[in-house]
Amino acid sequence: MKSEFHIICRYKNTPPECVFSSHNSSFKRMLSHDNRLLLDLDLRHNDEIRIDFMNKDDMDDNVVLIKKILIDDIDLQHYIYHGSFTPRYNTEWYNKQNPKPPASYTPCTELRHNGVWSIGVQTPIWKMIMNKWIDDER
Amino acid sequence: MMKDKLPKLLNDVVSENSYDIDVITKKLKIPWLKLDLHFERPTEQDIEYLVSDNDWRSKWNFPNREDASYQVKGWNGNIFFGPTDFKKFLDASSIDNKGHDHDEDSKCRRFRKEMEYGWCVDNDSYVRKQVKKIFPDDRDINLVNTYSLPPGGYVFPHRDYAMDGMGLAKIYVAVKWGKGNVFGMYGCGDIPIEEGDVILLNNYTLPHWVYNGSDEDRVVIDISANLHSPVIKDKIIQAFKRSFC
Repeated sequence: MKSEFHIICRYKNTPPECVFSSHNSSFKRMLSHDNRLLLDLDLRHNDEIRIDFMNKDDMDDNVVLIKKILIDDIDLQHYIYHGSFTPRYNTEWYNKQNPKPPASYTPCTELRHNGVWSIGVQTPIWKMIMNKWIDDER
Repeated sequence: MMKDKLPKLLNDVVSENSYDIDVITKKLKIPWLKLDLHFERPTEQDIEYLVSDNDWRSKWNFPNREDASYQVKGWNGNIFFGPTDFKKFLDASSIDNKGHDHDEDSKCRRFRKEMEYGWCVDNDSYVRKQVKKIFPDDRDINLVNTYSLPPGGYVFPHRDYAMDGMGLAKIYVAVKWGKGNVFGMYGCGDIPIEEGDVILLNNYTLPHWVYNGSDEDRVVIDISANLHSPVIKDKIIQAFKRSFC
C-alpha cells in the first residue's frame, strides 16, 4: 500500500538510518535532512507501522522527527500522536539517569534514541479514521 | 467528475460509505428497531412449553435474590439454547465478571467461542424451528430463552450492563403480548409492541421496565446472536433505513 513518510532529520556527520516496516514488509533507508519517502508497505487489515532508528550517534546527536505519514494517500493527521516510542537506550547514558526513563512513551514524534516508533493501523485507512472519530470520547 | 479532485480521505468516504452493522448496533444509542420478521403464531401447547416453572434468577445465580425480590413479580425465564455445561459457564463468567453485574446475553456472547453451546429442545420444537429460520447456523446463536410474566407481573426500572459495549443486541420476539402490556423505555415512552412483533432492543443504554396489565401470560423469546449473520443483518439495515432514511 502506498505509504508516504515526511521525516526531518537533524545531524552534522551521521545521517540517521531507519527501517520502515509493517508485519510483512520492511525497507531500510539512509535519511537526509528533509525526506519524503514513498514506500510500498504491505499492510494487512490489522497491522502496525514501525520506524526503527538504528544508528543514534551521541556525539553527533542526530535526531529523527516524524512530521507526517500518509497511507493510501490519506494523511494520518493528529493520529500520529497515538504512536508509541520504545527506545533502546545507550547503556552508559541510561545508567546515569535517576529516575530512570520509561520503557516506552506516547506521544512521541521525535526519536532521540535508538529504538522503535510504532503505531497500529487498520485498513481500509478511511474506515480506521472514521472509527477513531467514533471512539474519541472528548 | 469533480470527485477525482477530492482529497483521498474525502473521496473514499464519499464513494465507500455504506451501512455498517457494528456502527448501527454498537455506536448509536438507538433504543430499539422494529424488524420486518415474523414468528408463526404458537399453539397453546407451544406457549405452555415456553413458560417455565424453574426459577430463572436462581439458575443464573443472581446476587441479592432476596433483597431485590420486591423489584420483580412473577418474572421468569427458560433456556432453549445456551452453554451445555451450565455450571462451568457460570463459574467462568463469575470469575470473568470481577464483581460486575453483566447481563445473561453478554455473558453468553463472551464465552461463545470458548465453550460448547447447544439446543436443549428437539429439532421440531416451536422455538427451535422459528429461530432456525433466521439463524440456520447454530454457530451464530449465543442464547435463546423465553421471559414470561403473568397478569399483574412486573420488573422494576433497571438498566442492564454488557461486558462488550453493545447497544442494540437483544432480539425480542413478542410471541404472546396481550393488550395492557407495557415495555417502558426511559425518555422514549413505551415501545409500541404488538403480539408477533420482532424488536431489536438496546437494554444497555436506558433504564427500562415491564408490566403485564393484561389478563393473560405475556411470553417473549429473547435471542442473542451474531448480528452479522445474513438474514438478521439485512433486516437490521432495512429497519434502520425505514426509520432514518
